[in-house]
Amino acid sequence: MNKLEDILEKARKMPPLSHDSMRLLEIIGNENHNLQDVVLIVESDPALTVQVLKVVNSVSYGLRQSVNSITRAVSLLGDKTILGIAIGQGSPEVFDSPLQGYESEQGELWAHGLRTAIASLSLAAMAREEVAPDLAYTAGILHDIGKSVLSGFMKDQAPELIEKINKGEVKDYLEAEEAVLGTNHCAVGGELAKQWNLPPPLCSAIQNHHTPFEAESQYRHLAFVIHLADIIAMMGGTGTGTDAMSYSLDERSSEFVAIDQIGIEKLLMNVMIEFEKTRSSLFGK
Amino acid sequence: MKTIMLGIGEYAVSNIPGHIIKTMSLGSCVSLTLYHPASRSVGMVHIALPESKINIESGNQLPGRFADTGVKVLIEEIIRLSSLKKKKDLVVKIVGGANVVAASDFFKIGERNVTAIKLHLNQWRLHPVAEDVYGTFSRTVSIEVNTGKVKISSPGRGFWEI
Repeated sequence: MNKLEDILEKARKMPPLSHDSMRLLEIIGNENHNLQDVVLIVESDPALTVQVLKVVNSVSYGLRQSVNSITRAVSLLGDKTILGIAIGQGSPEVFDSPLQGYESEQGELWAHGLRTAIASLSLAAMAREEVAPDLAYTAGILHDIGKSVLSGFMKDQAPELIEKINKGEVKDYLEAEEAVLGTNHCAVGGELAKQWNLPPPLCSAIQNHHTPFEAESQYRHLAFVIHLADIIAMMGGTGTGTDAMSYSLDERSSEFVAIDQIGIEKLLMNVMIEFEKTRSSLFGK
Repeated sequence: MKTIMLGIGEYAVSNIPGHIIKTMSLGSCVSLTLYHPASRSVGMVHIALPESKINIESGNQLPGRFADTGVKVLIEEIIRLSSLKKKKDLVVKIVGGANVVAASDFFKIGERNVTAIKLHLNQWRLHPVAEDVYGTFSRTVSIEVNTGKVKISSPGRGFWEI
């Protein structure tokens, strides 16, 4: 078997997204969903219950009295944060393992996803055609799942990829991955998303977050939202290691998302503040 | 040995031997370091954006977030710590300010941060003696009280010093 086949085989063997995460995705994707449905899922999973209570009672939320009710916790945190917690916790093979191929520590992929998700929410509101905020948030968390598959095939190879960029043989990390592996984390992420039976717009955003113009026209605005949110997350210092900042901006972005120079600076700052609040509540640092 | 970790917009000064001030994963953010050799005092600020006018309140809360307020607060703090007489004795270095690969200036906040920091340093008649800026990769940076050495690392690119 060649390397590309090995990679696709690894993608096929990745464990599925947790049952709770899938249910939450389904519920939150339904515009008329009821908060009580989210509460029921959290309550039925002891590990998720503990984590949700830990977050809501952390200092970042500054509540005077401790919260012991899941209903209250869910209404305070919001369903999207609950989904973020569930995905991070329920898919340890993807989100809780170090990415050795990217020299990225345990938890960095999830932190990068979370920061991208926070930026995606704001950018969705700035899209020139309607982009559903919950879809943008979820796509933000999941956009780099392909890296968890590729990482094992790139151990100790980062200097080789970086040299290709430095010599100008390739323009960015995406092309460097292709040159060395014959594929890239977007294509592999797209495969994994399909295998997980994620809805088509999520599969498209994961697959096209570095090539948003290639997304199907009905999903193109979402792809541009995730493309920009990923860059905002990396600029703020939450990348995934060797590849952070080494990606290309699609210059057509402002045709799809109404953003200008000042808008980017304001967004970068707001995302920074919101992310620090969420991160410190989850990790206490 | 004690390492003082700086988050975005934070700053610190120290003259205690063994202290290291460090900040992790600078993307478009910039770390400004100051060193006063005679008193062995060092300082660092982690600057995120060029101008505080985009959010005055935030600049008041964490002056280190912006180049205009960050440069000022760090210089004032090191003057206070080291009883410095001549500002020109300060050794100034800047690190960070990476940008993604892009043709337009639209997203080049890293570059704008570096330009703004130099502009505000100039108002104090200070200029960097060394810099490691721009590029398309993230950097972790530290400064040591004992030596004033500024050390940089980046995943996959190893360690170096300026």
